[in-house]
Amino acid sequence: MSENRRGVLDPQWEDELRAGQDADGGQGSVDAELAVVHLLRHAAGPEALDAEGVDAVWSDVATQIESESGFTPWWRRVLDWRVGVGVAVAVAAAAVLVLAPGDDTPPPGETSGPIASGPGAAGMSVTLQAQFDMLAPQARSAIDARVDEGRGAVRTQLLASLGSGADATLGGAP
Amino acid sequence: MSRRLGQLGTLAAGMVLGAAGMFVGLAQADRIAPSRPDVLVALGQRLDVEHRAVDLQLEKGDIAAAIESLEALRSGPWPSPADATGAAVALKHDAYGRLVRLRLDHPEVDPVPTDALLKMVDEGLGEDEVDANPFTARLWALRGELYETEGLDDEALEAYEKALEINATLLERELGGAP
Repeated sequence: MSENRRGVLDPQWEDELRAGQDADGGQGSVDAELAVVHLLRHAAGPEALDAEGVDAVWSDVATQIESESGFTPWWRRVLDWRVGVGVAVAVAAAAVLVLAPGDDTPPPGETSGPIASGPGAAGMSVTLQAQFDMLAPQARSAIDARVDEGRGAVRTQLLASLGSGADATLGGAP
Repeated sequence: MSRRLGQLGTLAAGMVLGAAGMFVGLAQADRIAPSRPDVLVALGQRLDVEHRAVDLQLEKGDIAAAIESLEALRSGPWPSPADATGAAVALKHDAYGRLVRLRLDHPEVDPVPTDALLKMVDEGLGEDEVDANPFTARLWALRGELYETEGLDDEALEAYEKALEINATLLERELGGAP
């Protein structure tokens, strides 16, 4: 009963595990179990661990898991030369996603891509059409913004021209 | 005294050159306000309405009417970049590109020979200098496509390269975060 009340944070666990290992003639390893105990102690224990301590616990757990099961975490498996290629592809894909606005569907009746170019056309025109489909919406927005700026300038000019004669007609009086 | 005057002269020349460089840069980036903002606004609104009309005609499947509308747009008038900045040129290239694309996609409607389409593209491209934009790139790409149809591979390649160069500039600008 008293054993049940004893939490996993009790440092006596470690002593008992070590003692059990010694009783078996030093055979086997209790390091994996101890790593889990350390982790639980960190997660729930009142004692705060500094950054180095946390790293040490995780490193301990990872090492023990690897040594026991032969399992290597995915993030360690991918950290080789292939990660560079993967990152490059991801960046390129992200660039396309960032540059491609939401609605880049060509207007009805106007086709793009392979259909637009016909069966005999080379890939260059297809590629360029795809680039256009990707770049055009943003360019249209930019031109719309310029037209809006122009609208504001015209409005300002009109108000200025009205203002110059407004003193005489303000209030509707001639 | 004369030395000081010389230094002031150098400084003034530097300021003038710097201002000129900045003006050229802004002009190339199409960031100079139009001298006639009303012209750009009128053009933008007219094209907006016309493109929407073409959208509706295409939705109804009336390709001939869409081509007719774009041909009417093609006949102009088109303002000069001096009045309405490079945005006006880009809008013109957009309209021409849409017309040529539509004619290429639907050669059965009001057929036009390839050399006439090439003239149409050249007419659209004109002589006006314009900042890099996808509409100009599309016109160059269409030019390449038409040359390719004619079997003129060298001319086609040259036009394609021009289009790719413009698009590369645009992509670099986007990825570099430049305005």
